[in-house]
Amino acid sequence: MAEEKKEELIGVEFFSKIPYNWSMGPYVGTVFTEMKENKRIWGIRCPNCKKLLFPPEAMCGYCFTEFTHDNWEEIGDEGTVVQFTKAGMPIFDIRKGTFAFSERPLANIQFDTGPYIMHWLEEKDMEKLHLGMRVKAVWREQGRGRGYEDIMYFRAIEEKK
Amino acid sequence: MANRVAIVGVGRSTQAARRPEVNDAEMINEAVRAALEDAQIDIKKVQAVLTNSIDGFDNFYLGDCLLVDGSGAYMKSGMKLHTGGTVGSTGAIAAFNMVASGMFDIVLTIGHQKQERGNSMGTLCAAAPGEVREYVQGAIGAFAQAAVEYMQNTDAKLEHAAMVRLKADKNACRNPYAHLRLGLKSIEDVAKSPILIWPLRLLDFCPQSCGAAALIVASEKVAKKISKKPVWVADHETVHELQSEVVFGGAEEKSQQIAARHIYKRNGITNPAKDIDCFEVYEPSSWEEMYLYEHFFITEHNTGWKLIEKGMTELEGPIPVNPSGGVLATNAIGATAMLRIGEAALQIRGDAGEHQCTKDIKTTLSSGLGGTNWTTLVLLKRSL
Repeated sequence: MAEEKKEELIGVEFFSKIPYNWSMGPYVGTVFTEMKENKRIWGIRCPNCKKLLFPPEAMCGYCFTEFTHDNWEEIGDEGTVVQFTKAGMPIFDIRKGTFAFSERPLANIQFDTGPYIMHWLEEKDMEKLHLGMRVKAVWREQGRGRGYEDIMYFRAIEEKK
Repeated sequence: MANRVAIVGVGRSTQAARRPEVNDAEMINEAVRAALEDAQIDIKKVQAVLTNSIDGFDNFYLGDCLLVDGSGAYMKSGMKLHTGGTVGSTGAIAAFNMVASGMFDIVLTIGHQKQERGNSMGTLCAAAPGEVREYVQGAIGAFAQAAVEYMQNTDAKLEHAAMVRLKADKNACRNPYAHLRLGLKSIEDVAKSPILIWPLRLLDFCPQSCGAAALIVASEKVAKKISKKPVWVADHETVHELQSEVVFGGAEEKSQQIAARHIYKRNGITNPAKDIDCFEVYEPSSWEEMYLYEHFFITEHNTGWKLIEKGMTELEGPIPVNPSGGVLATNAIGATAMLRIGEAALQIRGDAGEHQCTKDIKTTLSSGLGGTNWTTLVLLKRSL
């Protein structure tokens, strides 16, 4: 009796590195430089629909107006927490290409001027966090010119009266 | 739509965490053959083939080139689409449009993803390094934050998310094409699962699956000739948002509500909970399903959790949502949004098998969801 032919299941493993060099464009480039050198956050105010855009690009996503460098406006670095969470699992770090645990909570913060930023919170105790809490950016002493990295985290500040 | 369009065939492959026994072309071929058999047509009758998946999520690229043998596209018209999480529905909508234009009578559209490879969280984080998304922690972080917001703004507790998860599993256990069929018995079973990103537990979030889905879409003339139970595409809608906005959560009306308002208005739907018999929604997390109840106006703002508490959205309930087990049970991303449409079509035909809803389903709404919160909606009907 002929032996039954066994299926061969072969998986070929390989690893490919994908190097990125992301062109940020002149507007985000200006934002990053301003963050590094002056510890300030800038956005673009659309001259047509008046929306404040962050991060800004060369055009308005809402009304398609083309911007010029006359449209810059300071966003400020204070805001309100609108969403937050904390990872219980290792999170992928795009800069290093590895997974790592983060001890800091992550928050969606709305700047007082309107736009949002996703960033870390200084306060690690989840019990002390709540929606609507007021926060301010804590800047790195020596900026790296890599935008969001120049802010370490957001620190709780006194609530607005 | 210019001409009437019907779904005449639905195909699903085996859906599992790993599919080492097949390659990509073989995996999609399972769904294609099932769809052709369901439509009772030969591949020769198909005039155009669309393949749809998210490049990079499973380290698979050039699907339009590499899948021709499995998709049956050899010497046929067609294209590949790639829109993110919505891609399965975008692929279906493109097929609807191709047939509605009058240029094609039969189009095959396929959604697929083989997620045993690759790192979809890394791919998401890399979508725009240096911009807002790099801190997103993939999709899980975004939906975790939205869940915290929901918990703080409503009386919903962790138990309500667990109820959504229990419902999903109960339904998935009746669906042989679901990936996770866990046999969960109680809220405690869900509570035991570890926290991924607070407050999302492992079971509160969709799995990574390998699988494919396929639809055969036909013109009115052909559909009436070849199919006893064509399911008619009444309408569809797609709405996009900007990258820089906070996209998931309930603070503002976003693409989900706007898409729903558009499609309801065009189709005279004034009370979705009554006018639509069954929903197949794209719910990446159990919390998001409660949001979707509200965003599609099935219930009022901040009351979605009450629907699950009262069992309204169970398969036997008055407003069944995801009788297939949904995305919480099965998530081969490129296939996911297409499965929502295919499963809804089977409900209308009465061919869903063990997970067929108790009540008669004549009208369904299927949704697709993708970063940056694109919403797709497809309204299906038994008769137009």
